[in-house]
Formats: sequence, structure tokens, C-alpha cells
Amino acid sequence: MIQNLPAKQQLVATLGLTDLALSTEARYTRHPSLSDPLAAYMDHPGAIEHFPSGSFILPIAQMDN
Amino acid sequence: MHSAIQQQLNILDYGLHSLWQKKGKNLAVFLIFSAVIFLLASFQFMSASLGKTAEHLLKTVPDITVQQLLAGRQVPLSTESVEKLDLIFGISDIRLRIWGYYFDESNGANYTVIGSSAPATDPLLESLLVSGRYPTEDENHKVVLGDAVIQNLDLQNRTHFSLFRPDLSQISLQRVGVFQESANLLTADLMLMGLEDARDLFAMQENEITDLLISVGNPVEISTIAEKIANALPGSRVITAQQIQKTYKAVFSFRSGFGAACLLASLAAFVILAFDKALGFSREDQQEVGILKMLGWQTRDIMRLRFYESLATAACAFGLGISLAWIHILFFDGILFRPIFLGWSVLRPTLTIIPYIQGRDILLLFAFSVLPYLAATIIPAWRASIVRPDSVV
Repeated sequence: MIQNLPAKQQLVATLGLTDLALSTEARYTRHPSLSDPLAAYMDHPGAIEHFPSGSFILPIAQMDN
Repeated sequence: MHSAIQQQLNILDYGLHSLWQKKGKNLAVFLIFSAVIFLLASFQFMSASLGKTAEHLLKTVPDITVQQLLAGRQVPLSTESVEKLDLIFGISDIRLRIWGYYFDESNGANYTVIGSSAPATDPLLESLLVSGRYPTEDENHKVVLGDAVIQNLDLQNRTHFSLFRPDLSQISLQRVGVFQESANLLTADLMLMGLEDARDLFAMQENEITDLLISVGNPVEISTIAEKIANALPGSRVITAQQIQKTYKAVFSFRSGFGAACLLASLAAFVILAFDKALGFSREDQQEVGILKMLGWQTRDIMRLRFYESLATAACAFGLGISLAWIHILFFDGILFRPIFLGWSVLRPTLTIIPYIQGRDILLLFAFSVLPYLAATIIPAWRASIVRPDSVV
């Protein structure tokens, strides 16, 4: 059971937190929901995705419309 | 019927006895198999635990988050966009927020800065602070810091510290509260400050923000209103709560590729090893089969014997691997996988994993480990059982 869950849910709602603070190495691993859409060479030309945690984290689901 | 069951039990009994007699030979397979199952199960349990934790924690994310994109990159939104959204029927609340990162050049850490005004008098929110309080709306230069930020800035008992604006002038801030370590999964790298302070820190224009957090009166209308917002603000990125929750359902799962591919490769390597090891049966094994056949055992009995031996090995290894994986998650918070998730992060907050186990994970692990092993030992078992007794005894 998550400790103090209602308070944490309240914090998420108040501050609009969207992601877990697991991997803080890159913006697309810290905030996969809010960062730029994942793109090849997003940082500079020739920069392939190189952070280890990036391999585990999927980009955000597309909007259903 | 009774005698048929008795016969199977006798074969099983003989098989277990035979395994015990050759325990030195079987120990290596048993230990490697247990280790492979341990890795697979730890990965699966950790994924499920993180997914479930995210599902609980992120249940209350804003209905819609709006950002502005330009050339595929996020850029500030103008506060004037609020006026455009006010015309959309069904939106019950719009909140402004500045969200960004502060890169600490002295140690290479990234902090998440949130400029917002949290209600200072909410006792529920205050229960998440280990000390202090939230800044009130009319206070400036007051911040609440996450546990990992305090440690990384090496603040200890100091309450005042400075951060650099883009022009390298300094902004002086006072820490008025500290988030609890137990909230690290949400707040470890967080610097919470007022909207004006965040704007000052990032040197943004007075009418600029980064996100709009939108509440919708009727949850059924969220996707319709999201579409209307996307039309009202050209080039905007509109993210619904459902999208965020869907993302976290799949994150770290088997579909996430890399980790699972490595683990499944190790499983495949083990299956090949098991196949190869079972194929190379020794002279003693052949003699044993020959004697059993001379005593009246049929080929199918020998195959059953080998099947029971494989099943017993696999079941014990499965039990041991799953138990160790559970202990790994429950008591050690998945310590072996933590470095993979943390990657090259400078901030390494303490995280408590809430263990979560479900029947389908056990079934999935069983299907991915025990069944391939049993399948890999069928052909060697058949080859061993068709030996002619007169050729080996």
C-alpha cells in the first residue's frame, strides 16, 4: 500500500505532476508525458538516443481522435 | 485406474531418486535456470510494481495539459491563450504553470522547477512536508525542495541559497519547506516556487508560461474538449489524463524492448544449454536405460521418466527463482535493476518500491521459462529412450 496516498494524489492534482521522478538524466525520461515528442537526432544533428533509461521508456500514447 | 496412477507415481519416485543421485550434474542446470528465472521475474515484478504505483499516484493528473510547440520543440505559451480557451464550453478551471529544468553546472544534476501556487493551508499537502510549509501566494523567493535536491545542493541546515538566471545574475531563494523522503517518487528532484519566481529564474516575459492545466466538468467530454483546444491554439500539444495513464501502463513492460530482449536472450541461451546438455547423455545414462528396458520398461516410460525429471528440475528452479525475485523487490527495492532505471542520472534518490504481484505475471513467467525448458528436453529424452539394451549393456 502506498504511504499517504491521498496526500500524494492531492499534490499531483495541485501541481499537475505528470510523471515519476525515476530517471532524471534526460527530459524525455524524467517527463515522458510532457517533453518534446521523441525524435531521432533531437538534441543535435547526429545525436542518436543514448541515455540507458531511454531504452525502457515509451513515448506518450497518441491522442485518440 | 488406480494402478495407472500408481505406475506414474513410481516413475516419478524413481526419477526424483535418480535426480538426487546425480545431483552434482544437475546442480549447474538448476542454479543457472533459477538465476535466469530470478532475473526475468525481478524485471517483471518491478515493472508491475512501478506501473501499479504510477496508476495510483497519477490518478489525479489534470484532465488536460496544454503546451505550445514550435518546430517540434516546446516553446512558451502566452497567457492570452487563456482568453481563447475561456470560450470553450465545458472547461471548469484553467491554471497557469511554469515547468522547466534547472541544470546545476557544479555537479551536472537536473532539477525540476515548478512555478505554481499550491494552497498553503491544505493540511493534506502539509502532511507531505518533513518540515516547514508551502509558500503563500503573496510571498516571493520562497521554495519547497525535494529530498534529493537538498542533498545535491549540500544545503544541510542552510535555508538560503542562490541559483543562476540565464544571464548568470543570481536569484536568492529561501527554503521554507522540505518534501518527505517517502514522496521521492514524485518530488525527489522538485523545486516548487511561485509563478513569478519561476518566471524570474528562467528570464521569461511577463505574459509567458509553459503549460495550462485544465479541468473539465464532465469527464466524458475530455477528448472532445481536447480537440477543441487543439483547434483553438494552433501548434499546441494537448495531453489528456488518459494518455498519461496509458503511457505508464506500458512503461517498463515487456514491450519496452531493450531490457526484455537481453533477458529473453539469456533465457534462449539457457534453453540451448539445457538442450545441449540433455543431448550429450553419458555412457552411464545409456546403461541405465538399457537395464530399465531389460527389466520391462517401455520407451514411453523412459520418456515419462525424463519428462518428470525435467519437470521437477524446472518446478524447483521456478519456485526458487520467483521467491528470490520477490525477496529482491520486497526487501531490497529491486537493487539490481535500480542502476538501469537511474541510468546516468546525477540525482539518485532513495526509492521505495511497492511490491505488486499478479497471477498473470506468474503465468507469463511460467510460459516463458518452464515450457521452453520442457520443450528443449523432449528430443534428447526421446533419443535417450530409443537405445537398444543389447548395444549398451
